[in-house]
Amino acid sequence: MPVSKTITKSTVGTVSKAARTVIDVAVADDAIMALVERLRLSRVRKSPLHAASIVLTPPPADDLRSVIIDVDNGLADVDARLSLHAIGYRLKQQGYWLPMLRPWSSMPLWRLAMTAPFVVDALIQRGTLLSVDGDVIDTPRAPRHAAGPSLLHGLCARPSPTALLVRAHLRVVPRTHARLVVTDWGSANAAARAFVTVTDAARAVCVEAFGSNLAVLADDHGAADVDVDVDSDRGSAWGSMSARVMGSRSIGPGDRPAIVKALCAGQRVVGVPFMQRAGVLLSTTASGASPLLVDVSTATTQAASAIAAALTRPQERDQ
Amino acid sequence: MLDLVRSVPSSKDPIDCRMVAHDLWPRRFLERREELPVTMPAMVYWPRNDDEVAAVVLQARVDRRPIVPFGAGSGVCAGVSPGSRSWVVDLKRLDRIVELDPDRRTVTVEAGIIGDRLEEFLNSRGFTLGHFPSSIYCSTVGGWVATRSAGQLSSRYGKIEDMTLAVWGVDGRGERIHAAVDDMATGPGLVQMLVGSEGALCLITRMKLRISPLATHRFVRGVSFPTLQQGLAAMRNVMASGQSPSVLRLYDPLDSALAGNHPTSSEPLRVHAGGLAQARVEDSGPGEHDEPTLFDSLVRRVEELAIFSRPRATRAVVGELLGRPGIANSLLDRFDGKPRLVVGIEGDADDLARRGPRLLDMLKGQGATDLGDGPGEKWLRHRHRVSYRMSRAFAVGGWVDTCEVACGWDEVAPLYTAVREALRDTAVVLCHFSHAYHDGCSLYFTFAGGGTAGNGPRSALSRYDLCWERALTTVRRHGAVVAHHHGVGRSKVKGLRHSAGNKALLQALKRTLDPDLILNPGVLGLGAGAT
Repeated sequence: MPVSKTITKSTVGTVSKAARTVIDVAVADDAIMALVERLRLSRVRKSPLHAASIVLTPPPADDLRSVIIDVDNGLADVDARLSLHAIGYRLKQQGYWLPMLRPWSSMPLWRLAMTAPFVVDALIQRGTLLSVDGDVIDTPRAPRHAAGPSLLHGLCARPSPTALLVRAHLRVVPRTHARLVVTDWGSANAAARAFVTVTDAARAVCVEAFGSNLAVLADDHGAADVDVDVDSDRGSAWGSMSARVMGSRSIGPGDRPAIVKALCAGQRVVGVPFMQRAGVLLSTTASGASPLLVDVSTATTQAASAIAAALTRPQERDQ
Repeated sequence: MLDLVRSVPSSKDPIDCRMVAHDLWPRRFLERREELPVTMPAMVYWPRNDDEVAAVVLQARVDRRPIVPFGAGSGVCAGVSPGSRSWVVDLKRLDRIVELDPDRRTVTVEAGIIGDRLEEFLNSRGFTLGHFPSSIYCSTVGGWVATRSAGQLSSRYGKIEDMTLAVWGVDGRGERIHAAVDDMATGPGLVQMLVGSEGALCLITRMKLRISPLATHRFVRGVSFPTLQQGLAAMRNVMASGQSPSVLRLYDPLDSALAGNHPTSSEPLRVHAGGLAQARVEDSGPGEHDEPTLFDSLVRRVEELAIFSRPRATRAVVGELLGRPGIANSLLDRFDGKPRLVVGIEGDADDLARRGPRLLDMLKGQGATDLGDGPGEKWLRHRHRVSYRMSRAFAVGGWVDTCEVACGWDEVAPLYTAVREALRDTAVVLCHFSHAYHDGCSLYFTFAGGGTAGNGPRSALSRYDLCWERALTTVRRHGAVVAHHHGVGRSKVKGLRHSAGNKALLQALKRTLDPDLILNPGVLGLGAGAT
């Protein structure tokens, strides 16, 4: 039986629109409770927080609740205070892959969700978010976004996130179903072409390009010139890359010119073919990547206005 | 602005207004059968460009008139339901293919283009969108994006939301809006805020979509399973194994039984030239495996009993049975069909020659019996029938409707059982499981029922409403989403699971982009009654 903890006015000592909000105990440990309190105070004082000012200590390594595998659905229910790096290693210990290769970002997932839309698009099936009021918002549980506008994107995405991701269901794959193959294609152009071919086939768990190299995590029958086990990839192009992934820029998975451009600029291009998504990982903070958190229940207009302003900004009339 | 509005093609003619007065929501046909009045919009506009769309919206703001966008009218959830003061904006004259960019694998099109036209264009240049809703001949690309449509090959190519890279539109302020996945300035997540907005946040006028090269070969096969659970487990394993089938459709025991027997097969695998996108379509004559054939299948089964000599009598009896779903379901329980799976994959010939046997072996390992190419090829030939022919059940006092929901794999079988149980005394229920993904799939229910005339508790209208209420309640209770690809419209609003925060954000966005709440009020539960 799931255990729940009830947050009431007396618990946090500040105003709440909701008389009571129930948070699953897996979410509501002391750090999160303290954050709820801080967020509510911030709202009362009308001083919105910058995400960069929030520090959340990850749960201890032996906390079994921080990564829970949902075998039936190919998902992992993870604590969003963990970095992708920590999540990836814990998954590996349990016999699963993330659909993204090492080095994984050392940024906490909750912050990455604000700056890396590719992560939201490709990896996160659903999220449990904490509004600035301290309310818990569960986005719909569906294999795709299904009904209506995507609330996960609306809540996480820039320019103004309205909630903090505290837990996420990530798409994962059993290690028995996939193996890694790395190929040096000799040029960025050839690697980009191969990237698009793998994406078109829509079979691989993930495909990544860096320089002239292409890595494909696919089922046992993926074509390969060079076969490298993921544990022995030190010294490869991947081993030399920095884990400083601060954000991402989404691209069309078949956009070869954009892939070539990114590869020539020394960037890492990632794709999740079975989700039809691709992105360029960024090692610097993009503009707006340290967003202002806005209040959901009383200042959603602020969020909506920011979204509307972004949608209506002057655009190239090239179409 | 007024001059520009006057130059927009428009009509108040009752026939023109009648044509856009509603979509294909089946309840509207029951209302027509009961001779209930049709609410007609005040005007229909056919704008030819974004400027004209904006002009109509601005004028509607001045006049405080609701605006209802209209594509091809193939929706089935009351997404189009204008009031008597409403203006309908029919977007079908926005039908240009703006740009094909083979290098970037994208096509930019206007919202009003009919899906089949776009697919033909792409095929002629070696590409496919990979999006094949059964309504492809009578639905617009803008409608697909507005409702998060899914095609029959979604397991490989994704839903329309996975293909949409940019959206252009006009919001309720008359402002042009634009979002693109690769645009860091606008926030890439905003594309997914407009996709699925069903005309409540903006009128979508243009979109950039990802395209794929045409596959050269295909392989389709039918197999049956001893139990539904085995079939579902096989689907899940196929998706998890990275086989990436284009088609994976499992029919429940009743649907499989009504479709008739297929002999087991030991014929070798055949790889056919041409991808699934190019497979020949036959749209006349009775087909099998498709949703609207429920009534026809029932008629056929009763005919086989040879009790009634005249077809009309048979149809009347089946119509009568639909009015007594408890009895009908007891009789149908005697059918012992084996769940049938249609699987299809695409690739080059060598690739398929390798993958086909592996896939078949994998399915056999899950308990499947090979039925050969027959079921798959037959499904392919009739795959687009569903959207043009109204079920003959309506002619004998019955009704048929469909409900597509989605959930994780662990919830599929319990939800299926729960919905069937909940509707046992309300309707005959068939289901197929399609649009399979790594982490779940869609359940596509077909309900068929009947009832008396009028609007009493035993009337067809009351039973229809009761059926939907029970279905949505059950779906919601199981934590599934009430719409996978038909949209929410007005008919499924009760089933939406908005938490307080979610709803607040959507409402705020609605108020900001559409301050007068004139855009399609009521869909998604937004802005209803405001005008």
